Amino acid sequence: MQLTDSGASHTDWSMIAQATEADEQVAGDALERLVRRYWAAVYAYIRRTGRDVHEAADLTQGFVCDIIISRRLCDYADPQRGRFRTLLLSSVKNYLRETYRRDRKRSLEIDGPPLPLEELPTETSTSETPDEAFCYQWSATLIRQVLTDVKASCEKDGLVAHWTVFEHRVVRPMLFDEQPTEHATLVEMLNLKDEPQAANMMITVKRRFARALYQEIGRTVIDPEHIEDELNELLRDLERPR
Amino acid sequence: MSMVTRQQLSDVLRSAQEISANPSMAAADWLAHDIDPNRRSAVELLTDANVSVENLRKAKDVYKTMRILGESSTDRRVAARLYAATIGAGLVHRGKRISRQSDAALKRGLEALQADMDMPEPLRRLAEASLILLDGNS
Repeated sequence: MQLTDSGASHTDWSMIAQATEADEQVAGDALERLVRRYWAAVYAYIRRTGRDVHEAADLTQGFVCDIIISRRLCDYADPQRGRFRTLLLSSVKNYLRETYRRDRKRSLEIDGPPLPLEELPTETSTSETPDEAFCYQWSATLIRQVLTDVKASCEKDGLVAHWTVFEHRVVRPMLFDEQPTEHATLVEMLNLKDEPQAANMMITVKRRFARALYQEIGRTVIDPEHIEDELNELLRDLERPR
Repeated sequence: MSMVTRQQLSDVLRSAQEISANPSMAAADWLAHDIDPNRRSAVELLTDANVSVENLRKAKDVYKTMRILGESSTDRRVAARLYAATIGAGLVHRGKRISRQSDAALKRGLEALQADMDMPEPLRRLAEASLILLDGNS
């Protein structure tokens, strides 16, 4: 199953390696992909430290420009020394301490990869710590990316009806608290043979989702054997009593 | 997804983990959960003494379809076992035969379930109880 839309390598570690290349075009493209992937988690962390929406967005932009680009954060990333998101999180913390000490506003005129601010989360929970906010947002980004990829792969492979069943029976009920659409309705809407067929179509996409999730997490670790550990780490963070 | 809770994200990740650990049984469990959202697995659904005949018929039909359309041979084997288990559950819990299969065919399916060490123990015991009932009736 092809889950990416270009021939470019999309593992996080290969993106990080590309971001340190001498070729400015390659490095710039890789940086932009990295920023798109991680900005929401960085923003969520900063937001939970008490900054308002605009200040958090400015600081996120500042972190990208000052730390990721100017100070070349990717040069310090080493897969042997741990996860990239751990390095990113500790860098954000240091950056906030620094900016607090300097106590000066960042200029918004700095050039850098554009942040997709139109996708800003509208709300963050008031009870979570900044670290929890980072983990929550990173997990949400991961799941959103995987769902987008799986939907695209279903469309490409002629499984639009399969995706529709999965969306109405699994995605919407699980993530948006919607009532699952009745099988009978889906059978009629999608012109299927019967309800058991619809149920089994759901399983097909659910498996694609699981494979794509493992593949996506695999992009963030250096060794495929660490995928399960990384998934368990995310689950521990999400399920930690609060 | 800004309103999604941590629990919901966790549920999504866990469901992917379950399906990855044991694809065939996890698929069967999902089909059971899809029939009755209060049940998390095929074992829970089929060993519930209060399971409705309607839900057993639905389970029988989805496992029958999975037996044919399953992606792997393990899928199809697990589905065949669960197909027999749903019929057995009808006999044991509701005293009702929800299949038109002959006694001989039904016994073969239940014996295969009972002998399959890869299947959950409660379902194998259900097969054993069903066979006793069938023998008592014949």
